[in-house]
Amino acid sequence: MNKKRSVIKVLLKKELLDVLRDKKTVFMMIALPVFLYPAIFFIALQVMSSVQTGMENKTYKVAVQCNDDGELKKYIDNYNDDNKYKIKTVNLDEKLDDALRKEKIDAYIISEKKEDKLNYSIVYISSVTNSSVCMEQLEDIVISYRKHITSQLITNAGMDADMVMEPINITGKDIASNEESLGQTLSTIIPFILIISLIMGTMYPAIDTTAGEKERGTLETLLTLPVSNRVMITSKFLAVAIIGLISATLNILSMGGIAIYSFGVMNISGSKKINISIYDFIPALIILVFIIFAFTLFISAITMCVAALAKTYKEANNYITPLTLCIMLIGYIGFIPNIKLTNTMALIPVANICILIKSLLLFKINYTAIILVFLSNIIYAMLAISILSGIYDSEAVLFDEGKGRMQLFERRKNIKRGGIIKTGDTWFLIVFVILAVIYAGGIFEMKYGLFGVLLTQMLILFIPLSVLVYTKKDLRKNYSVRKTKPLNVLYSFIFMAGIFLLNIPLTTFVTSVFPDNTKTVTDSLQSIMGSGFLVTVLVVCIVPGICEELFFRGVIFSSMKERYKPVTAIIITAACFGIYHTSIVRFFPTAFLGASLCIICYYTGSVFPGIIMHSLNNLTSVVAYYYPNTIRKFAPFLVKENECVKCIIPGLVLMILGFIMLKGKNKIIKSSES
Amino acid sequence: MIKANKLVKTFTRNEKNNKKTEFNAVDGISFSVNDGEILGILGPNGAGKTTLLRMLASLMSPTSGVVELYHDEEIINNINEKKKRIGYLSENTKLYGRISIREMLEIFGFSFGLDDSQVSGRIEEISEVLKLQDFIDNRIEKLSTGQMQRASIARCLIHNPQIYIFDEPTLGLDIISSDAILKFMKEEKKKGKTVIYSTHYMEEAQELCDRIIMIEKGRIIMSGTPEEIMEDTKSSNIREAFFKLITE
Repeated sequence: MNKKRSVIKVLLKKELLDVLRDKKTVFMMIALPVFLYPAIFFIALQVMSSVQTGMENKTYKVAVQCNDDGELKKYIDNYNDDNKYKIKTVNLDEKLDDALRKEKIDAYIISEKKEDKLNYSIVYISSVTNSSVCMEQLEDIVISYRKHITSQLITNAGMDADMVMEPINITGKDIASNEESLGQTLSTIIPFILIISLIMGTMYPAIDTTAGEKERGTLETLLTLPVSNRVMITSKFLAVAIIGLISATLNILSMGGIAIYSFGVMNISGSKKINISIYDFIPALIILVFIIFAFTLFISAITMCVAALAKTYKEANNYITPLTLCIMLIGYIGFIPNIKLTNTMALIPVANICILIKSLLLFKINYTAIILVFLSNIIYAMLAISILSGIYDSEAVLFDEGKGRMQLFERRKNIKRGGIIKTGDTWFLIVFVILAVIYAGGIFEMKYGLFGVLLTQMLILFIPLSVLVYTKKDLRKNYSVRKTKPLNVLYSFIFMAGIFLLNIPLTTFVTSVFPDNTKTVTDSLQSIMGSGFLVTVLVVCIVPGICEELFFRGVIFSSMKERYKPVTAIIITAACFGIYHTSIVRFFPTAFLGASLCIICYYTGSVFPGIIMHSLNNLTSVVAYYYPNTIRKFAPFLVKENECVKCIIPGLVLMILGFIMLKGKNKIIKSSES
Repeated sequence: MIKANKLVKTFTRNEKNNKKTEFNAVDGISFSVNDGEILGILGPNGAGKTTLLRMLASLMSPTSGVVELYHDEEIINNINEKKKRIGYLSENTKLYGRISIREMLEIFGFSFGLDDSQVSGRIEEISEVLKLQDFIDNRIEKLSTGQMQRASIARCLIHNPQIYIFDEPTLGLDIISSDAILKFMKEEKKKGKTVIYSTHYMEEAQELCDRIIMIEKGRIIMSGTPEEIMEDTKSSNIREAFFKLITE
């Protein structure tokens, strides 16, 4: 019986055929690494070699005009250290500076007497290579001359010159193996080369399968097929990832081949042979294969996301260029010495790959970090693919219509009054507010302490408000300002009490995974407390409770609910809330808190219970700071790590009870309803 | 059978003074087409024909109204199930230049859920009907305009759809290629297939269509058989009838 073929495989075949038959892609993928890089390398080698030879054979001209009866000039002329230095003294009538600038001489030496001492000056031009090289050689010779004079003086004084000048011997001993030394060299270059080769390998297929398809007019043809956008995107994504991997492999093999050839030539022509055991690198290489695979998925997804926003090849290239520059800039992190792969760094895209490769080549294997790097790249790739699926809503792609467009950059008089903020504007707000909090808010808090915290909260309140006012949106609907039953506050309290208890072991766990970040968070919290209990309550509890709830559960959640299913809207809003706290230690507990506040807002239809709960949550930190002994006495599970597990069962019970009450007693209100 | 029920599609348009206004490209259109019937859709540029056909083909969702597709008297609601029963062709459905016709037909056949033997069987049949044998293994970018149009039609046929939706299928073709396409539509009608197609060529519509609807500014201004339309407008041909209706 004939089997039906998997649609993803069929479409993947179509994408691969379509892309691989494109000459541009094949050139970037194969011709570049296989032919061009070796050609460039050999040409560069030839040029460098001839320049090097030229420099080695060159005799440098030096003028010596000193008040030492010609002693230094004689010394230089007679100096011969196995022909290592090729310096010839010359006599000149003209001004020495002029002769130096005209390159008639490469350097000159003059002297002046000060307090019975002769001070020699070597004059050269650092911007001229010959002059710099000459200066280095002259310096060695003049130092040797000084040693010679010193030795003479000591001997004339009746002492042993060798014993006086070198009473002790000092030598340095390097116990690094040849493999470690090689690893050190490779660790600065390989990450950067890998990133460049992956970007170049994925860029063209990413553009070809997205903007290219739109430009060629085949997208509408594809949409006549009875396949979901998700299947279509997956096949494109897999095609780009496969081609990216092939390209990266060819690039690395090409670079590796050049490196091995160079090493071989050096070993044959050099006086000292260096033995390297490649087998020592095998464990690192095996791990590297998996990491490169995950990273390829991430780069493929990101480049496709960006290219999909364009309608033509040219436009897509314009969008991809700044992305490429950003990625390359982050790739430079591999050149920074002493940067370690911590668990936090393992979550930062691109940087995590660079530092991991560096660590592997330095034979430092941290399995936790490796797993985090691998998983984070996979998760980021999946997130990017979800965004890409959203972009590929067929009408928005084909006809430039559909939900989620931006109104912020339209003329105000063209905007219709009312309704919920568009998701495009919401995404813009999220990025803008988070950046404002990081940069401006950071400065405010450093400079003004608690007052700075207040100013930061005003940013969170007024930036979204300005956008809502400009786009003429219904403030009540966007902020979910609605009455709610008083009992909802009680249900929310029970629910949040459970969440609060569950957050304690969660926070304990997270701080154990990221210990290096915990101190930073604790220090920053300490710096804003201590201005008096009531003032701290106002600035740390009440104001953030209002401002953050209005932004996150108000503006963001209302907008996301209009576009996505409730669960998706909750996840997005919670993730944004977690990211906003700009600390990996605080991300998971605050995202969990954020999701819970979304649930409260969803079922009560109002932002007010969330404001109260958020303020109460923050109040616990303030009370713990001001009344630590009371807390330690009555709620030891809040402060003692080994007691936090006791919170789990009561937390679960309260959470479930509160959830049932919230869900059962309320009717869901849509964002767009009053 | 396919039924359009009060279809409306709203777009936003930029005016001269940078103002944006909403307008209905399709404004409350209703009609039905039975099996074995050819329906012609005529109208000037910007009348809403392409938008209407895209909605019928489930490429675009209506702002309001529904498209009902019947199979054995049951309504099919799922968009992908609808697409399996529709073969859609327009000047916007371009072909993949770097693959051959055979490769394209295989890809589309498998994507429509046919198995290996069904796909190879259909390719043989289609190749026979549309006379593709001489160039079926050539890359599409190397084909002439007429050959490309036949390849496009082949793409629509591969899954043996019940309904054909063609948006100006003879546009830019020579008389021989146009004739081949018209003959093809007649043959499919005899097999009990439904054909909906839009055209600017009135004579084509008069000869081919069982019924015609004329639309302007998103609304139906006249519908009926060619004879009924000519009688109602007291015209000797559809072209004359069309001009009379547009200028009224």
